[in-house]
Amino acid sequence: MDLNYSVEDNAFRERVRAWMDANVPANPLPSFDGSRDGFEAHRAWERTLNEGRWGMVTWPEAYGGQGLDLIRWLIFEEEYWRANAPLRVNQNGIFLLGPTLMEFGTEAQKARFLPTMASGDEIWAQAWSEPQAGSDLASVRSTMRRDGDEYVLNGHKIWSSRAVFADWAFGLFRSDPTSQRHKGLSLVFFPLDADGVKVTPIPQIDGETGFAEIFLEDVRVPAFNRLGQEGDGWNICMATAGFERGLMLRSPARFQQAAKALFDLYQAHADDCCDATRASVLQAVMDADAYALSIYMTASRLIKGGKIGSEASINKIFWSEMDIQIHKTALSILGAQAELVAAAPSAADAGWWLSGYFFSLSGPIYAGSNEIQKNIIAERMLGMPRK
Amino acid sequence: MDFSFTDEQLMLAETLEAFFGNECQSSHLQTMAREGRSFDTARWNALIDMGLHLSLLPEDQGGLGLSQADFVPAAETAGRACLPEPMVHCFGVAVPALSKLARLDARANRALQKVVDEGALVVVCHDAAPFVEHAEHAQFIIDMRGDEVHFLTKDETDLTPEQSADLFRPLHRLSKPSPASLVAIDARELTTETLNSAAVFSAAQMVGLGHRAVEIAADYTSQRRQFGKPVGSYQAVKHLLASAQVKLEFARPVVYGAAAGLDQPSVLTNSRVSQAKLQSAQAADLACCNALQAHGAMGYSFEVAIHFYLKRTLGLTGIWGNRKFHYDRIAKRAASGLLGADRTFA
Repeated sequence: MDLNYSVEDNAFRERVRAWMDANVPANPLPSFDGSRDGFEAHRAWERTLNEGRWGMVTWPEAYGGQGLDLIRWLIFEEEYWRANAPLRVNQNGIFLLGPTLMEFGTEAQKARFLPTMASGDEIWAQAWSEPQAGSDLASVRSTMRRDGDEYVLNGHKIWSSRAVFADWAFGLFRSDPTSQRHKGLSLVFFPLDADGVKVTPIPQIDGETGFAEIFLEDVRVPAFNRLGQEGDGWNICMATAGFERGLMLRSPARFQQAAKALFDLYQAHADDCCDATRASVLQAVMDADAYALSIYMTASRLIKGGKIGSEASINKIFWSEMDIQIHKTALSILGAQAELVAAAPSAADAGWWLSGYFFSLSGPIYAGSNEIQKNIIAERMLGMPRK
Repeated sequence: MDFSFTDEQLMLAETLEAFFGNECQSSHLQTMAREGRSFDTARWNALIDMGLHLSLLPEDQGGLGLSQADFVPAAETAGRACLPEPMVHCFGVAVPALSKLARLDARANRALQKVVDEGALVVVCHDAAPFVEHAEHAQFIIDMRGDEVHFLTKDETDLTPEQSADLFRPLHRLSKPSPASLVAIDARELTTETLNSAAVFSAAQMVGLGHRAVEIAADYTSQRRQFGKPVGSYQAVKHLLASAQVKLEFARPVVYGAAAGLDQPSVLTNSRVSQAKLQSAQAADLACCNALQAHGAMGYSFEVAIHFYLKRTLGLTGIWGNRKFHYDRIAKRAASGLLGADRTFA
């Protein structure tokens, strides 16, 4: 055990910091879920990142990365959040599909999709859930039918994050019409502007359109767009979900910065805060620190060849509950200002705490609800009976 | 940067785990409780034979010269076993304190020789842990209450029995010692060091206690049937235990991180020690209470072992710093500009 950064680690941190200082936009970008302009501003930021080869530092150099290990990724993320850099509009691509492609894709698929993902030229949405397949994802009904060198896609997807403005989606479809449940599902990529695709925005709790419904009617895509074998879709999705819940989706730096901001807010209002509020603030400080330490421990284990397992579920519950607690505490400090949206003249911190609070409420729901994650922990870690 | 234990570091805990798996099962605890025993001499001697008492003693004093981070997995394992004997307190807290005294005081040095050669039991009395544990089996007591440090042999002490709900932690009140036993040492430094390592090792024990309580409850609810199926198949029961498991998994890295920082005193070290103590107590409390609940009425009985874990957690939560003390140290870190994404280790 050695909790010291190497000289090279520190030099790397300095390089990231200098680049962020020089390149992070001075003013926050408009939300990527609020308008096409906001979305394209974030795409431009992805391109800027890619020009510095900072898009995805853990990826191999051939795909636009720097081939760095997970400790360097953590350092990068720490500096990224410290610099208050924009949110990653392509997180479905770079954090979820990217690692999945590297594990399950052919060389040709990697060469086709990874570089454009890293550069932000193609931004990805996820098309898994359906009206009747939410937590019970294995109930997917949308179909894909082989026709020569192509697949024909039909069905109805919902809760697809980023789908309103994104370029591509990766979806779960039933490739074997006679199959039941987890069997006979396949994962396939389709362009969101293909003939037969209709995207309908769904206004979210905050009024923005972060997700959408996707209707597919005889949408034709080359068979090349299928990831893995026919029928492997479920296993690939579960691996992707592991990445999603696990390490990369929510880097600790995000919560460490939020906890720091919360403590600053508390200090500015300390005279109006009760002991219970102070305890809540300090709990947020502790939880953000615990999450960071835990991820460093997981990263150290993965570097030594370990695999991510049920801790993906553990992590997801912890960060999602922590995120809500941080934001609720901040709103409790803001009192009468808590409900003011960004546009309100008297809004505190440009409504940042309120929008963060709304966003945090999605945490326990998406990427597999926390109730499902607790079942996974009970059954796979603790060996409790399924039935 | 490598936040993982080496194989050597884990070997000690693995050896202990195997030993306790044979020699400190729930059934052993129940037998001892029935017989009114709080100390098993054979088990204690076996720990001495393994050389555990030498772990944290420097090599020039005849010890193994291990670090606190090396010892922390062993403390966690002792917690998992709900070990009655004061292995963690004596080997992890009292012997390192005695090692410091032995460099200044001839009597303490002779006592240290008895610890090294015979495994003599030494315990600490501290403002943050004022009731002396296992005093009747101790040969030596270090009293660091107030701003003084006293070294006492057992026959120099005036002890009044207290009684803990934890049958395996017999407690005594210690009268104020005479000036004759005073040791000239920087009391403030020693009491702080002692509190920090004791808090971290208590935290490690609580992580172990909590994990074991959850395991026992998961086993029980997988067997116990109601409405025609195991009660552990119900989500309401699963979620009780899974929620505790989440808290435990996030307390553990804090405990390990705190242990690794103990040799570098700082505002961050103090804060992380306090955080380890608070978060492991929160997690172990949730684990023990939920494990009890998952047992139904059996959980409230003396027959099921859960109460041993719950009572040990209760005791360890209350000693080595109260909530105010620990919260204040975390607040101090926060107010010192040591928060934010680049401040995990600096």
